Amino acid sequence: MALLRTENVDYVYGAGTPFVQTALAQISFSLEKNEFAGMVGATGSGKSTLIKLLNGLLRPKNGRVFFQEQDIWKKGYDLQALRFSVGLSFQYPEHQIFSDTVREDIAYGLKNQGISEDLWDEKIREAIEIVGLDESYLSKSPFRLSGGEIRRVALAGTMVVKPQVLVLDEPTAGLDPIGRKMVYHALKRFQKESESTILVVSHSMDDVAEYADSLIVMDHGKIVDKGTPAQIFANTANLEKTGLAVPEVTRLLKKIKTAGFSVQDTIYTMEDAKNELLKLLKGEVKDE
Amino acid sequence: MNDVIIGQYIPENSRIHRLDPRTKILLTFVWILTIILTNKLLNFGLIILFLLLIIQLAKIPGKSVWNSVRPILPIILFTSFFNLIYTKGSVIGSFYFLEVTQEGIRISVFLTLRILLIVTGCSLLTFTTSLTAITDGLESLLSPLKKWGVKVNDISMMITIAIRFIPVLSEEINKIKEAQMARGASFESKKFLGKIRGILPILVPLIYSAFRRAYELTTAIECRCYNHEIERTKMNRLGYQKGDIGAFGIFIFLFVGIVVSRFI
Repeated sequence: MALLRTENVDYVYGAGTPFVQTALAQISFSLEKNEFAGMVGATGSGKSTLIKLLNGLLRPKNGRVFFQEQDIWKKGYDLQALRFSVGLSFQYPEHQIFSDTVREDIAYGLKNQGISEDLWDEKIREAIEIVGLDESYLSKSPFRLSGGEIRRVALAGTMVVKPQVLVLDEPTAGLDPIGRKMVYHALKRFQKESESTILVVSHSMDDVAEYADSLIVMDHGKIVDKGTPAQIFANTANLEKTGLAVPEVTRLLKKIKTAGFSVQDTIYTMEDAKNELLKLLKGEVKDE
Repeated sequence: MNDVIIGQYIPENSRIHRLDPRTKILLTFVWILTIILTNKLLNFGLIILFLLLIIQLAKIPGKSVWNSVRPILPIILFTSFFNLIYTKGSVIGSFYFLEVTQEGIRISVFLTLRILLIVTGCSLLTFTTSLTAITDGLESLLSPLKKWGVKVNDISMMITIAIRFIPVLSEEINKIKEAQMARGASFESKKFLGKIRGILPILVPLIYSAFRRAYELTTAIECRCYNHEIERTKMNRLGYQKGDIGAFGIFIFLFVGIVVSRFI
């Protein structure tokens, strides 16, 4: 049973004006419990629109969205409750921060959920710890933190309500490599500890390849490919048609293979690539 | 905020679109004057026909025109209702203590027509004229004021930036609102205090981002060596065509006709 799924969803912007634009056409996909999925696609492929449909911020023109097999647009469905189960973090989430202290900002979700204040401290501490910051941050002003820190504070603000599905739009946009690593570590940890499902939207192949169990490729409002990273990256030509590229390490190994060395070219994480190259090097040494 | 359509330029290649922006700005004023001076039902009929003709010529979809007047309908209904019951004169019907007079009907019908026609006329200006064209036109129309030391260039630059950023900020509001809704915020609180508290999570990030954008814009403008003391030249210079003369002719004819008919 899929935790969250869409069924033939269409979405159109500016219906009824001279600026009509189809953003999504016939989108069907599903997310399983405890899955770490990545959604990739070039700019304007409809990724950001699609995720807003998942927690009911946008209503699809056609098609249906199910959470735990319940149609979220059925009359009487509690959309506000859904938003605590399907957490959504937008691009540059730090731009939505408004509180004086980090603690207050993280607590915003709890307040909206109506959780009693006695329980806040523990939940807030847990959330800030998952994103790799310590308690000393709680009393600081979010506007004085560094880019990577404030991003993780914003992330903690979404994680604090323990959503069953956490959807993130470009969570690492504009961050340095260390900041990126920290964010993904936080996500991985959150997935493990609360057995949540995570969907990361990105156009950085390197990031999603490293962490995701499954990938969805989008192009011009349609899903053009689905599968494990290995399956998707095996078909380089198909991927490049959508304006994307395989991860850098995969490209490197493919080049080495075309140069006449026997390496596996279906590798897409740094760790595997390192092992493969070491194997090759050791093999070469043996030949001499 | 989701479907702000007033002021949205609809690109098209029509006779009206091709008119000089100065013509359209000046004629908008003539149009407003004409409508204020109209005081006969028959003349209103003629003006409406004239307006429909312009809409047709400008190739603007009726739906867009309707969308531009829709937001002000409540105000119109509100004011004409009070005009209807509070105007003294010969009573033609009454309902409890409310009295409807002939004068009341006349005033409220005229008021409704005037507001509708003025708003439609003004939105036709923005439908058919791009923002840059409007600012160029304004700058050119205001340029005589330079003699008295008014910084027309700066004013037109500020107007451009201000208008240009309306859609940007309204998009920003939407984004922030969605982000807070994703965190479970509900903006449907009925209590007054709840409403105010609900606005803060939108207002603070909005102001913050407005300042951020302002600083970014300043840097960008400076990087392009903008200097307000330098007289700027234009890539597309304005020039009146035959169509402009024709348009002036028609509007002035209409205006004079309306004024004359007041005395008949």
